[in-house]
Amino acid sequence: MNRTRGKIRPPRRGLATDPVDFDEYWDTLAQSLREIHAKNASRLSFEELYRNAYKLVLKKHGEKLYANVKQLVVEHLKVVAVRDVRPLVPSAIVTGGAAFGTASSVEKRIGGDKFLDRLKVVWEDHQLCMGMMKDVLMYMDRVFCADHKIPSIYVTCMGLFRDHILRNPQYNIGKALNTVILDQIKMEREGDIINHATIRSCVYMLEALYENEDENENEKIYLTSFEGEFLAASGEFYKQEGVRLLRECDAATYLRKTDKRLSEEYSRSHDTLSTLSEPKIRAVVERELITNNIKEVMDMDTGLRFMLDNDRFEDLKLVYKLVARVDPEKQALKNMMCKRLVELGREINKNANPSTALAVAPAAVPAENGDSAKNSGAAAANEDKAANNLTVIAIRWVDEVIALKDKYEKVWTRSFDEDKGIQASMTGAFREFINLFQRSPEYMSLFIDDNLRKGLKGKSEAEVDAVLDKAITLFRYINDKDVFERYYKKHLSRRLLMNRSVSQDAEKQMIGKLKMEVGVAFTNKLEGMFKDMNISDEMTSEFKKMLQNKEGSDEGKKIDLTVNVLTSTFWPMTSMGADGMQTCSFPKELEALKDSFTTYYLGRHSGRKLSWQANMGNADLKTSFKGVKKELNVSTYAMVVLLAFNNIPAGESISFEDLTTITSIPQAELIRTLQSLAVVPKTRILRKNPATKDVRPTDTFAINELFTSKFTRIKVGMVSANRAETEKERKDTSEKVDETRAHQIEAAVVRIMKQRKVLSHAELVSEVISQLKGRFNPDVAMIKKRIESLMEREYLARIDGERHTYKYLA
Amino acid sequence: MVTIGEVANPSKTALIAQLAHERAEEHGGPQENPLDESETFQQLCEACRRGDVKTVQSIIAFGNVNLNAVDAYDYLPLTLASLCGHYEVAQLLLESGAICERDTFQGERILYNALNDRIRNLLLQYDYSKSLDPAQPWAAGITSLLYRPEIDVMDVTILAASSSSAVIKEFKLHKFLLAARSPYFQRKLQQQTKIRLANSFDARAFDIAVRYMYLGEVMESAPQDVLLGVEKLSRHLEIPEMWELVLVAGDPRVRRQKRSESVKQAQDDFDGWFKKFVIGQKIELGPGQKPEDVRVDKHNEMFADILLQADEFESPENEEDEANADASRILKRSVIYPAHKAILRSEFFTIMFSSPFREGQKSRDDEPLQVISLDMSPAVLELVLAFFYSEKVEIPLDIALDALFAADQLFIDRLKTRCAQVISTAGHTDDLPYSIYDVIRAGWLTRIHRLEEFGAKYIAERLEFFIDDKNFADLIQESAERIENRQETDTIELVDDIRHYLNERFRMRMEDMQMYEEDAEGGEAWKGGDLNDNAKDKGNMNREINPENRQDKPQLGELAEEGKNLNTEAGLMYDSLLGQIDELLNRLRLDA
Repeated sequence: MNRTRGKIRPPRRGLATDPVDFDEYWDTLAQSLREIHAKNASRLSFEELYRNAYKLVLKKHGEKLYANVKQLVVEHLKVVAVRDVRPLVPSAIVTGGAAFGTASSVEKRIGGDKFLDRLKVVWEDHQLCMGMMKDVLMYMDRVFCADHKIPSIYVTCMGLFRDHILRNPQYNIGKALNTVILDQIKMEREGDIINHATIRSCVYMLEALYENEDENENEKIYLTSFEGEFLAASGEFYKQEGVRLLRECDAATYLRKTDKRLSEEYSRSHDTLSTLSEPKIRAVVERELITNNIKEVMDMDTGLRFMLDNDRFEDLKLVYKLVARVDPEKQALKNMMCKRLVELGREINKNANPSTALAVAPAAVPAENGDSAKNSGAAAANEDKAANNLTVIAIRWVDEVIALKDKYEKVWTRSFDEDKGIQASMTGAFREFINLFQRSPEYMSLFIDDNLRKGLKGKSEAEVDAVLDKAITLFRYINDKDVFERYYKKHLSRRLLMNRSVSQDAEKQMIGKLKMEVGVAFTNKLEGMFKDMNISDEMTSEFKKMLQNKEGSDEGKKIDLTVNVLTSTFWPMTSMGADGMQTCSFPKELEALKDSFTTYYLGRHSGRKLSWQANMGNADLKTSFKGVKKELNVSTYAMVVLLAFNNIPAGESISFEDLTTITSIPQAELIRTLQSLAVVPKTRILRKNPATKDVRPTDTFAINELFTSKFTRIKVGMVSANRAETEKERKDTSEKVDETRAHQIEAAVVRIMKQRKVLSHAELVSEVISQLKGRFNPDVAMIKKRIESLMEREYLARIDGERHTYKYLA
Repeated sequence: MVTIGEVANPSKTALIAQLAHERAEEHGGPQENPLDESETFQQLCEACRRGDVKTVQSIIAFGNVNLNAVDAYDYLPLTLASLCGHYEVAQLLLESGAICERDTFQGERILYNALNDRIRNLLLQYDYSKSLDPAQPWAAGITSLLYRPEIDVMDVTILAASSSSAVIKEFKLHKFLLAARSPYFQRKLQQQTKIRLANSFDARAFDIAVRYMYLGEVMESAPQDVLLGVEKLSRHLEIPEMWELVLVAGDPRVRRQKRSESVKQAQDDFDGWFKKFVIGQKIELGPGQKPEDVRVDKHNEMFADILLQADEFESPENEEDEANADASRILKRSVIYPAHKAILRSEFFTIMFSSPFREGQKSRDDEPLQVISLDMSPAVLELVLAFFYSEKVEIPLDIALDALFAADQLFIDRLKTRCAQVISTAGHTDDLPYSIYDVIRAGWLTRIHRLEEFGAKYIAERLEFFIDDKNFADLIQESAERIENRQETDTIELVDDIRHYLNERFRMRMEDMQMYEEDAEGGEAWKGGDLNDNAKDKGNMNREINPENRQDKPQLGELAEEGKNLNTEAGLMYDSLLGQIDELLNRLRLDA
């Protein structure tokens, strides 16, 4: 080993080992720190201060230094508390606060403002001084505090401010601060003007201070000491405000004030307090002014009902806005609105109910056949008249429902922000009252019928579309779509056969819309009806050509025959009164033509049966009265009656009984025919003896030679054309509907069972309902009955041992 | 002799990596990322996945692995660490020379796979071109002057018109920096504080020039007319290197090289400026002259805006005279250096100049510059300043310890590390210019563990001379006190370290002995030293690097000559030294 060791260098002085006199360094440092408090920092040398602190820390006096600085700051804060803050603490708070409330608001405001201002200054001073001390003591923070895992001096001194100023055990400064701020806010809420900036500064202070030195974000003094009190005071204030407003204001004012309060609180939490409180104070106001009171407000005389009835869109918008804040479902609003809607709907229903409506109807409707109204003897005429009135009522009902819908739709768009939930409950409400009304399917069909017959004249395509769309929207609400179908078919058939339709396009359009709504199954019969009409047209012209080609026979030339061949399953035969043989004895020239067509038709389609429905046709007759040529358009029956007079000498009369024999028209029909020919003034082609309003079997009839009319072409209306159903008809209809439903239910049951083989009762019922609900709402009892009937017919059987389970019998 | 600390030295490993990389490139080697299936590498990859910093560190230090190799799945360790979101591991890898370079397949892959933005930013920071250059932190510091709002020390405004619009663009810059970088500005700024460039110079071109002078990233692609402007400016400002750098913008490799050159150029520029205007203009205070007497105007040819003062004291000749230590501090000389606030980039100065204290006050134009006295010798201050200005510093061993304290006081971390490095590497011979006790204490005080280890080793190798020194006992006592609420079972770190190095010192010798002669005696002797778990651990790690170390050991030669006799001698010496340590501890009433 060639090391020349032996001499060990001793530690050098001036470096690590040199002892440092703590007190000496500390005295200079403390002196300077006091200068900082005295705001004389600009004269101090940072380098010197830092160096002193550095030396102390390096020489392991960090702990002592830390403690001494703390002590120094505490002493300073104690002085500040007594000298600067104490004199301005509103005296009443310190002594207990009884007198504080009585001070005038100006005094309170000025006093409070001064106090807050002072606190703000003191806080800002503290922050500034601590910032400087932190800089000077940087080495201590980095080395000593980090090594010993104690909070930095800045954090500690912030804690000191909390303990010695805000929570000063003697002066209650923190409490005074809370009280003053709350008081100022209360004053502002009551309309005074306060100084936002000072409050904001004090709140900043509360936000910058924490419960402990961990500086947990959730433990800001603002949150722990102030916010709770603030929210409680606000809750109390708004509770009272709510009571007062309910007492003093109408609904609209209440809502406006609430809205204003909400926006006030929002801006207050942004420019006066802390945004941390924004959601919380909002919740308080919402709870006190909206949640707790909104029902009451909407129930006011000037509440929701009033607004709805009077189209107060702005107010309604406000209602919606406020309710939406507290309840995303807006249940209260929905319920109340739907209640009102159903109420209005029921009102409309009530007015449209024939028993109540009839009392009003005559006044409103100039009865076409008013002169027959006085004659109460003829039951048929009376029923017809009622039915006619019903049409008017039906149209009015639909119009009113549509108007109601338009109104609410407008409210919905303008005030409710097109809220989907509200739309759904509105639909529910419409559905409810429309389906409560048994006649709604009939009325709707009547409405469409009326429009297609005459209402659409002179309207543009867009307008037609709009009307039809409205009809469709109402149609959507109907549960019993099959009932509607039945009525629609009936009305359609009359329009088609009597050529009453204004526009073929509109009809097609309507069918198209229905098809979109409920599908092909629903409309294929309706389309079949149109097809029949078209085929008949072709056939008629072909038949005519054939007749013309048949030289020698002149029957074709004298009489122009148009035949509509109707497929009986497409057409509502029974409701057209076509269920039996509705026929009569035609005069021989017609009889020949009829036979010739029958031969022609059966020649073309073998295996079909053709039955002639005289009650549905009409005829043009040419005649002359006193040399004036007239063309009469009459029903087939009327034609037969009139042609009977061709066979007797002019001027002679035929008795009712003879007419019955000659024409063999069913009596009821004959009476109706004769009524239209002999009673209605404008078309009094026959003279009746005696000249009463009624047609009796004892009457006799002759041609009215004196008949005049300013028209050449005269249409003899058939009494009871297309009207709403009479009570009796309606009963028939519903029976028939039930019958059809029974079939549909059975079909559905069999379909389901065929597929599933074994199924429990409950499942079966629910499947049936789900299959059929597009057409109508099947009645559970009815389904049960149908199942039983199917079991009787051995389509299904119960499974032994398992109750309420069926199996399918192949 | 390689110490542990040096292996972890980022710049050195990075440099090695670069060399390897370049060699590979020269040979047209496609294997930039060779496949490594060794077990060590697999361990490394696994540790990167798990975020096990310790394992990664030890593998990097001792495992001798290529950090830029890939595993069987084509993953780089860095890819794994950043994919799994281990920030520290990624940082360690990057510091140790892992490469993440954009525009390469693996580089883009790493960036793309980084778990979060924090890691992605880290990766970008270490973009290859930058991470290889040890001067990069300094260069980044210079660049940051452009965007440093805390203290407003921009003292010159340069106006340049924009060719595309009628707007005149204002550049607020630092006089000293421009003057250091551009001969043109050096002349021009002596007269003016506001310069309006001729209209023929486009503001966008000047913008590039500014970034060049501040060592920022020079735009990769610029429109033709701007480039022309740059070329013109390059001549006008008399900095031809700028144009060269812009010219090679296309090729990343050449650019990297150029960029590296240009940083070196800048370092030279700053160093030249520093030597001429800071050191060259320093003011030595004569006897009786006070700092207050020094008056430097705001407008001076150095463009200085602050004066820094350093004092040197006569060290008392008589070492025994401790009682009068303070009184005997005689001021030997004071030196005042003109300096620039902007370049003093440490937290200490930043806070000082932005504080409301005297140093932070804005002074009037007719007032002289403030003198700030710093608690260090002129030599140390010169070192500190040189470090700030150019980082071109050789830290002389004799002031390294003082510089260490100065750096600690002024929060200049990188200087601190470098001082510690100088002490712990250069100071291994006996002629350490200061007491080893001071070194250990400095390690404690400035929180640099490496110094404590170095000290322990130093003492262990000469333990027989220290064991009876009173100061040594004091030091051990102090080390024991460093653990708060010390329990009887707690170890004393310093003693542990010394035992460990002692073990090492003798073990090597004994192992060598065994090569000549099987002798169980020595083996028994060092069993005692292995009892400590900690020491064993370190022993294991050290064994791997031993083979290299042996050749450096001067002792080995002696051993071979003295042979067997020494073997026993060494064993006895080891035992006696261990016994003496225990004795010492007993005296101090410490258990360890």
